[in-house]
Amino acid sequence: MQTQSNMPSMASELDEQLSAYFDDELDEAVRASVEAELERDPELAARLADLTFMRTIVAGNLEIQAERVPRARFEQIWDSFEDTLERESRLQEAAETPPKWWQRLREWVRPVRMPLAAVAAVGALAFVIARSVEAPSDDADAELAANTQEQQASEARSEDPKQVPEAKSEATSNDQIAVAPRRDPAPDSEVFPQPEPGEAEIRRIEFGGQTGTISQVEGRGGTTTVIWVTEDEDPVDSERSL
Amino acid sequence: MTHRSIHSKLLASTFAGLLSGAPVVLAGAVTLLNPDVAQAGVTSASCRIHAVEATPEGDGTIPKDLEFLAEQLQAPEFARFRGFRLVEVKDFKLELGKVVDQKFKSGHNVKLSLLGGEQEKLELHTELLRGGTSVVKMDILLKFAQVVLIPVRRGDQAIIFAYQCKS
Amino acid sequence: MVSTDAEDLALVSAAKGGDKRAFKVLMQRYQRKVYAVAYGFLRNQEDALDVVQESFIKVHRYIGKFEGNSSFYTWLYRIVANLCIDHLRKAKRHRDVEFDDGLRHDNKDESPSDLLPHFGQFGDPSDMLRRKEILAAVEASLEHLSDKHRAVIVMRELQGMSYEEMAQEMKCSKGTIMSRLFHARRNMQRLLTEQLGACLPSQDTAEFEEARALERRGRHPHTAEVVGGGM
Repeated sequence: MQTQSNMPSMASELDEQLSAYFDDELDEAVRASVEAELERDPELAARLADLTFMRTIVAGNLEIQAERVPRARFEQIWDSFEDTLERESRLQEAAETPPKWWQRLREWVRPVRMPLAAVAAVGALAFVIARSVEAPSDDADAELAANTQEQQASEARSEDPKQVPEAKSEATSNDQIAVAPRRDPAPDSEVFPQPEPGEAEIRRIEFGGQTGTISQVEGRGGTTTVIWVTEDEDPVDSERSL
Repeated sequence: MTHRSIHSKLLASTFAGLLSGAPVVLAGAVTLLNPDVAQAGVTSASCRIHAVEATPEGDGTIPKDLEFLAEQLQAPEFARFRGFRLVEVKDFKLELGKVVDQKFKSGHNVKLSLLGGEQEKLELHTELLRGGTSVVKMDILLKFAQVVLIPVRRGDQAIIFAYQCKS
Repeated sequence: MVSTDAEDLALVSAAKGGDKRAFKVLMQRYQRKVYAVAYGFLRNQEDALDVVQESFIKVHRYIGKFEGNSSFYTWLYRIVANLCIDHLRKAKRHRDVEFDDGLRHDNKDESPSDLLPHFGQFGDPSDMLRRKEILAAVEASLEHLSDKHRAVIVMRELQGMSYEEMAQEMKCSKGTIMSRLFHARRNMQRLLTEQLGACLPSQDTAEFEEARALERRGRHPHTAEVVGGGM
């Protein structure tokens, strides 16, 4: 008994190494010593075979379990997944940056048919719109529209504290309502990455009669290609359409 | 747990995001579902063109919606312009060989077509016209995340067309 | 039905560009494997299917970030392991054995493995898989392992993850993984021996040999039963 209690700990260390050997995770020196031991000891070799056996039946069993799942279940998952994506991209549109958001919202508010639930929220929204309309390029916050709403909400808070959270959530859910119908007629708004300076390669160019110049603007990260063109002053077109 | 619960979890978290006013980041990298073909070469692309009015009057500040062009607009080349205003943004959906023509409020027409390219690099043909007269025509190779600027000068003002594309 | 890395990369490239069909083809190649892994971790069909769907969502979301430095399935498997570990952590409240409480199973060995009989007596393991008693034995054994032990077994044996990868997923050291896997295997061996010993008396060896003989004649034992009946 005494001798046996010593043996398990030695066997354990070798066994642990065997386990790592089986997984190809031993470094060169230890690996070589385990291999030497395997040659010498058939019992150790049998233990290695046990590890192989277990790997095969465990992996095999799980794969068989997977085979048993009917294909229809996976198709259901695909349908679910596609619905989720659909929903996600609609919600994402709602969270997009303001120049699009407040523009769309303005267009949304203009038509008269607003859902009744939205009427309560109009106060808060009108505030946002009014501010935006006055100076679109300056005051419209470049942060998310929700932040702007929050500002309005906090300003309005002094007036009617109870109405504010309502207005906010109404507005948000209206945003959802607003976005959905908008989606179909207008092209999807895409998300473009923050531009990185990089020279575009011009293959062929033809200036329409007037002279033009191709220049590069040097920036921190690289250069941006700029193609300067000058128009003739057209006497007919005097009114600025900007 | 059913599949439905995943939906409600996802919706609940994004809704919570919207309500709290925090930016809702739904995707690390957005891969938009472009229902187009599965070949290696690019057969469709989307481009966005910003039309920016540049004038000599102003204090030189770049409005927030033009911040992505700040570096360029503040470069010495644009020093003559002190005021910038985003007039319009238009998205173009391109398909190989087809020409898309859009009219901008500035009175310019922009024609754009996709000539080809790979995933990260697009070859485009574009033409800028005003009142039917061609102002400039070119073939250009544009990389994903690159921007190309075409300032069209008229007197001491200009309309800068900023092109960005992706496949 | 073995997908090559090259094929995967082509599909990944297309999927990154927004090609819905390529994305679907790519994921369909792996969906059952993902299920197998999830089922290994979670032991429950519904939960495993939830993970399959969650993995689609996650892959779709992050495919833009996949650089191709590793093979696609390696990247996918880490996502799946991650999802499963999250599920287990969340579910731990409802389980008898907490995910984080692997201690009482981790280090205690009831019998050193050199005293356990070897599996060699049962013959070729891939043959064994056709026997439902064997499958039941594996199922029962997996059931009795702690979450942590089962996690490393699934990650190693089914997903082929490296110790380093597993260490990252389980947020521990490589040494811990090595030790954990060692103990998991010993427990597994003990459990399997108990289960198999109970269901495989010596007369079954004869049936087993017969099945193999049929194989040599090129027929699957199941079809033989259906067709002829008599041997």
